Amino acid sequence: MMLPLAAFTVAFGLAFGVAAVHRGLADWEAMLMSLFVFAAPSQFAALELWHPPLPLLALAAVTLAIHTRHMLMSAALYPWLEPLPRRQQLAMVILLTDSNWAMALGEYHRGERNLGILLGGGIALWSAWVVGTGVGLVFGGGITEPERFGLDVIMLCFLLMIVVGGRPRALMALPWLAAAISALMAYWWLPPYLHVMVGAMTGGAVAVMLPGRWFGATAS
Amino acid sequence: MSASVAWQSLAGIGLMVVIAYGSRVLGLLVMSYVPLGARVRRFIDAMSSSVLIAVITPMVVHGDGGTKLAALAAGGVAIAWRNPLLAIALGMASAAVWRWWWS
Repeated sequence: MMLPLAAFTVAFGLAFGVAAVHRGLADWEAMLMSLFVFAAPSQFAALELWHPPLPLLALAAVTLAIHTRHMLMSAALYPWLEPLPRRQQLAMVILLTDSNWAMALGEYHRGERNLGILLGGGIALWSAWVVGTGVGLVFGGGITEPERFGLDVIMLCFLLMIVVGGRPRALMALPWLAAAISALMAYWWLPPYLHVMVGAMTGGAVAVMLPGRWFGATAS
Repeated sequence: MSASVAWQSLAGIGLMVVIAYGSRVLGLLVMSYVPLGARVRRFIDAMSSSVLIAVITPMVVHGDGGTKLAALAAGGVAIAWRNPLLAIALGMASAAVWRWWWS
């Protein structure tokens, strides 16, 4: 179960490395990100904003918005981690990402209480991600016309896949539509980089305004 | 690369690290004091996927035909088969083929 996931992660890391080379990031910048940020969606989103001078505020806002999801994930793990001392609890979530979280939580619901699956899964994915990034950085520069091979759309496809490839939720259609339209209008008429925040806020606000009973199953 | 640009990158990456780890920890800390309400959860859940939508939309709208086709292919595969690597591979392939024919 862990092995195919790790193989996917090497490929994603490779895609990130290649994309980073073509966005003009230095090797050490991309590597530092993979080593310490370890979060594909925010790293890909950061590539979009990576022109000097760096828009630090926009970068922080986008990262924050993407990562609020991880806040929910670690909150869901709390019952499992509760018996541990606080310091170990905090250490366990360092390598928390979407896929190992989903896998570990599935095991927890099947009765698994051994935390090794959370930690081990995290370590395996992290190594795969770092190795993939390295390979992508080394070979990415050898490709002179990235568009001809469709390399410039990796980032787009990846983000799209994260959004629609998760749980099938028709009730997100309205918030997402609102997010897309408001982001596009902000992109045209507001100062640069604000469109991401505008879209995120609109999407969240619309979801809150929908009738609560639509969310019956998830409102626990 | 000049020194000031390098410092800027370091600051940017540092910022990302703090936020990325902070959010992983914050969920635990918040839960140990107050459980999150349903409305707050719903807002956060919708916001964190909407932020990706907001990044993608202008890329697709202002992209060339290859980009649009790639988005269509990758999105379709992701919904139909839930296979991430296949989605990305087909997206890249369709962009490459489109540009092969039209440019």
